[in-house]
Amino acid sequence: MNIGKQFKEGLLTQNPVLVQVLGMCSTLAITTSFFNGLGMGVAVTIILTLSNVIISAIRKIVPDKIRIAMFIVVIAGFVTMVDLLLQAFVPALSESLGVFIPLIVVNCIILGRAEAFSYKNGIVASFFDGIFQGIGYTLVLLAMCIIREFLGKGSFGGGLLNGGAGIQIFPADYGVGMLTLPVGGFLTLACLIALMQWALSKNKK
Amino acid sequence: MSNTKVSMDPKYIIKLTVTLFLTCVVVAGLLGGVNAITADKIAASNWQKTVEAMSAVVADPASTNFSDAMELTDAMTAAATAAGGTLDSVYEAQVNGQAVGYAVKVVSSGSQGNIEMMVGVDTDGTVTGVSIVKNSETAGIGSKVMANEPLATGVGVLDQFVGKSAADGTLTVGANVDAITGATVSSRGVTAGVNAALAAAGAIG
Amino acid sequence: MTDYKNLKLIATSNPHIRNNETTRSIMLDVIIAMIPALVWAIICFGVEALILTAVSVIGCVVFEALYRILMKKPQSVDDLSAVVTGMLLAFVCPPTTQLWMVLIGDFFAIIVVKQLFGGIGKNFINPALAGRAFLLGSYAGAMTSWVDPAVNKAPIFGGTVDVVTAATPLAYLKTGNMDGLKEIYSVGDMFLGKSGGSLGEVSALMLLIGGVYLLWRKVISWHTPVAYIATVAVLTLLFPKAGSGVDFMLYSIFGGGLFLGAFFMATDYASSPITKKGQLIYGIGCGLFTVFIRYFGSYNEGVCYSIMVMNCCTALIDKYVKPTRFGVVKSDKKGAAK
Repeated sequence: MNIGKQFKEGLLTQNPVLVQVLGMCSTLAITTSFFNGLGMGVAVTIILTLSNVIISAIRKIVPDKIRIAMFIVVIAGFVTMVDLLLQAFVPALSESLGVFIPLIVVNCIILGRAEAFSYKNGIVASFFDGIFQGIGYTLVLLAMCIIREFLGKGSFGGGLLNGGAGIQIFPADYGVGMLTLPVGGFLTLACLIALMQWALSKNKK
Repeated sequence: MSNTKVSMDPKYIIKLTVTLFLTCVVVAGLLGGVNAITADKIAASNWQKTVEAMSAVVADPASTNFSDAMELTDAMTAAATAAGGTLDSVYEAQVNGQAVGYAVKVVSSGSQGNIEMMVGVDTDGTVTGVSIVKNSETAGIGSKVMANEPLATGVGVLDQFVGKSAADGTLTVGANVDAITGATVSSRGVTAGVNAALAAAGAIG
Repeated sequence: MTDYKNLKLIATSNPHIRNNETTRSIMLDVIIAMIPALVWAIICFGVEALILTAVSVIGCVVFEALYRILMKKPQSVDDLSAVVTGMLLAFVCPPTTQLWMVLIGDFFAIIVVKQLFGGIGKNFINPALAGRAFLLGSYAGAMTSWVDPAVNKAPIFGGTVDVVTAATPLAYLKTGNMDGLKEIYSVGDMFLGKSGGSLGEVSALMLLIGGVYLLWRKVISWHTPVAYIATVAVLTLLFPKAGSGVDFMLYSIFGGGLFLGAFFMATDYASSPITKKGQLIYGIGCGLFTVFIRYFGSYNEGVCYSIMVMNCCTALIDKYVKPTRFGVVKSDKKGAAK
C-alpha cells in the first residue's frame, strides 16, 4: 500500500465529504463555529482510525454474514466512549455538538470505510486510511466553519479564540446571518462540492 | 421478493450468535469502565450548569442553595400543560435550609422550535426571574426576546415578568405582557412558559 | 454554448409560431410594466426608493457581467434580464433596506441562483425571490421593519425625515384585528397603495396597470396570475379570520405582495410551467400556499415562499400536464404510452 496515494485520496480525489458525499448530517449541522468543526473533525478522526484498526484486526475472524452488525457494535462502542469522555472533560464542546456526537455511530464515513477499506486491507494501511480520511473530513468541516462563521457572523475562530467569542473581523450586524442557519450549510456545501468537482475535472484535462 | 429457503447449518448459526455475543460483551465491558471513570464528572458538570441557570432566577443567588430535582406529581404536570408549556423539572430553592421558592424548568414552543427556560417562583407564587436555557429563535427578531432586550418602557422583555404572580391572572401578550415589535410569537412562547411555571408551582403541595 | 442573443424566445408548448420577440424585447416590456409601481414608490417613500432600485439594478448588471467575463462565457447583460431581476429584488425589499444589503441580495440572486445554474432560462427558482428570501433569512430584523408612507413621505411631499416603523396591513390580518386595520387604512387606501409594505408592492392599482400592459403585449398569459389571485380571494372570502368575508378578502388581496407576485414573479418563464393547464395548477398552488402561510405560518407574508415552493414543483407539473399530441391515431397513442 502506498501511503502517499492514500494521503492524496483522503484529502482530495476520494475526499469523504466532497467526493464520496458521506457524513452529510454532521457536516451540515455543526459547522457553525471553528471550535465545533475542529472538535467534530478530531472526534471522527479518532473514532475512524480506531475502528478501522480494530475492524482490520478482526476481519479474518468475523463471519461474513454478520459483519455489518459487528462493525456497528465496534463503532458504537468507540463513539460512546468518546461521547462520555467529552461530556466529562470538554463539556462546552459536548454541549454545542449535542446529539451529533452519538450520531457519529451512523456517520456513513466510518461504516463506509469499514466496509470498503479496512475489511479488505491490513492493519497499517487501515490505520493510515483512517487518519487521512479523517483529516480530509476535518479539513472540509474547517473550511465550511470558516466560511460560514466569517460571512455569517464576521468572526474567526469562534468557541476557541478570544475566550470563546472568536476574533471579530467585521461587525456581526453586517454578517449574512442565513449562512449560520441550516440553509447556509447546504449552500456552502453545494458551492464547495461544485468547486471541488471543477478543480478535479480541470486537473484531469 | 424471492421465496427461496435459506438453509443454514445450525452449528454455523450458533457460531454467528456466539461471535456477536462475545463482541458485545467485550464492548460493553469497556464502556462500563469508561462510564465508571466519567460518570461522577458528568453528573457534577450537569448539576453545575443547572445551578447556574437556577441562580439567575432567584432573588438572592449568593445565599441560595438548591435541592435535588423534586418528584413531579401528575397535578403539576397537568397544570403546566393546561397553561401551555411542558414541565421539565422543579428544584426547591432554600435559604438557610428554609424553602423560599422553586426553580421550575419548562419547555414552551417558540416561533422556530422549543424554548427551554428556567423560571424562579417564590413560595407566594410570584415570579423572581426568567432565564432562557436553550432556544432556536430567529436571529435578529426572536433572539431579541431571548437576549432580554429592553422594551419601549426600558425594562428587559424577560425582566418584565419579575413580580407577576398567579394573582395577575393568565399572562397574555398585549394585555399584561409587552412584546418586542416583530417578535410576537417568541414573546408569546416565553409568556406561555411563565404561565406554565406559575401553574406548576401553584400545584406543588 | 447557445448564443442567447439571437435565440427567439419560445415560451409556450407546441405548436410553435415564430415571431420577432426576443428576450430583450420581452424584458423591456416587463421593465415598462414596472414603471408605474416604481413611480408610486418614489411618491410614497421618496427619492430613496429610486436610489435603492437603481443600486439594485446596477448591482445585478455588474455581477452578471463580471461573472460572464470571469467564466469566459458570452456576455448576456444586454438581454436586460439582470435589470428586471434588480428591479424586482428592490421591489420586494422594505424601502428602508440598506444599500449594501440589497447588493448582497443581488449577488445571491444573480451569481448563486441564476449564473451557477447556467444563466438565463436555467434558474429553477425566481432569482429575485431567492434574493429576498436570502436577505430575510440573514437580516430578519431589517427586512421586516416597515415605514408608514403616510408619515414617512419624502420631504418634498411634506413628510418627516425620521423613519416611523409601522405594522403592515398583513400584521393586522394575521392577528385578525380587522377593526384596527379599518381604522388606519380603507380598502381604497390599500388599492391605491397608501399602506406600508415593500417598496414596489404597496399599490395594487399600479401593479394592475403593469400587469394589464403585460397581458396586452402577450408577454404573460392570464392563467397564472388569475388562478393565483382567484385562489387567494376564494379562500379568504370563505374562511375569513375576522370580520366579514368580503372585507377580509379585499384587504387580503390588496395587501402584501400578492399582485406583484402574481403578475411579475410567478410568471417568470424559466421557473413556471409551460402549458396553460400547468399554469392554472401552478397558480392555484401558489394561492393555497400563500393563504396557508398567512394563516398558519410564523411569517405575515407568504407570497415569496409560496412562489418559490411552486417553482420547485414546476418540473413535476410539466411532467404530468402534457399537451395533447396532434396527428396521432389511437393505436399509436397506446403504443407511445407504453
